[in-house]
Amino acid sequence: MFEGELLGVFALTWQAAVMLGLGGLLIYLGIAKQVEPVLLVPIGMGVILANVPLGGLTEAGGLLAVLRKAGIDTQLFPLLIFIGVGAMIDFGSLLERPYTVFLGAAAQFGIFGTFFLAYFLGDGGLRLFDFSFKDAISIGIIGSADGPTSIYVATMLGSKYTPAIVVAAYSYMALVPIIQPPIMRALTTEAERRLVMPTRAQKVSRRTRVLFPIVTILVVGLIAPKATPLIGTLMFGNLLRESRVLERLSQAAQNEMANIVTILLGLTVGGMMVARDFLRLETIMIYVMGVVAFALGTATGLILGKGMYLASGKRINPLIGAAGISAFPMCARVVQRVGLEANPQNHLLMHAAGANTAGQIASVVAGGAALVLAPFFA
Amino acid sequence: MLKATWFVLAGMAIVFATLSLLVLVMTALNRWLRPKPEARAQATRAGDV
Repeated sequence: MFEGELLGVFALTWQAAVMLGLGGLLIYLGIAKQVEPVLLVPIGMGVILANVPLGGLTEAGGLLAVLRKAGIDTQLFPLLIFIGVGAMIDFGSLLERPYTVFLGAAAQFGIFGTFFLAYFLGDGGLRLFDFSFKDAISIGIIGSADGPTSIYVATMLGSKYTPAIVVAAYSYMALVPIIQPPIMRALTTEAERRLVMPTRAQKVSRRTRVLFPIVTILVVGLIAPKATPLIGTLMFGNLLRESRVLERLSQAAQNEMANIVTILLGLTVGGMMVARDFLRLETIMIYVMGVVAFALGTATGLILGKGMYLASGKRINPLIGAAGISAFPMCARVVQRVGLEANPQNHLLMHAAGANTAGQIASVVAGGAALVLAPFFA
Repeated sequence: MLKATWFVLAGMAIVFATLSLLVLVMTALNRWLRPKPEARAQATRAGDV
């Protein structure tokens, strides 16, 4: 008489138990180890809520199902997050050093290179994993090092691996300080890392700062129209910040809105991690691919940085290329730390911040490019 | 895999083309809308421009 709908314990499968453990692990990492707690704690709780047997939260009409339909399937949550992100970012370092845009562009090879590898391992070559062309693009987008863009592209492409991709994208951002430094040391010489760059840069007027978000929407939107929702919301948030007459709205976007949507987004992403969809060999491979994506992006940024180092007559420190992936501001801080290790007088933070904010724009463009191109190739 | 190769090349081409145009626009904005000397002096005192 206690079976069926009454006692969930009778409906508990080993897969659901594993997921409950995984949810607990994410919460532990967030609280005890402080690994991206803002995201991992809501995601961990979402995993637990979704996998309690007979809880009904992921069934039609359940809280997590409603949130998924309203916020993820419509791409509303990542776009709202982007308004907050735009309001938080100061593009001044980029405007002062426009050449750093190319470092952000080069680092996007992490996306496309990882896509190539995933497709080769999947339907395009070895067929070791169930990765279709669109799944491979969605896996590659982990290399954008940008959670909202990962969610947006993966859901737009309808990848069945969206939850794993999103969790990988967010959790690897916390691992940037571990993944990047060995690659930075391997691809640069001691002399290159020691190079001190001039701290002075051209000054930027307020009118330029106000116009920048608007012209960026136009430039990106006209070339890669599928990126317009992402770049539009990012730059709208930045306009709130730079206008200096919308302080209340800017603060609301950075704090109240970003915080509320982060709670809802985290719970919803966790709620998408139900045992039957998540516990697959492909999920483990997606996590491996995440490391490849971050490493490739870092390496290609560094390689272009070395090209700039030579082309500029050894005036540009190639380390700043590693900040081209868009995990902002963590990458810029890692560059600063590795630069200081080589030379205690070497302060690369502002230069790296330019490349880092460029990476934010470049990852959105790359996501838009992938969405534009997918129908022609998939 | 040929179509995957073309996808990679086309994707990177769009990224570089878009951002190259953005660099041109940023350079033009910086040139045409550079801070006025008095604003620059004020900004230097205020620590911002």
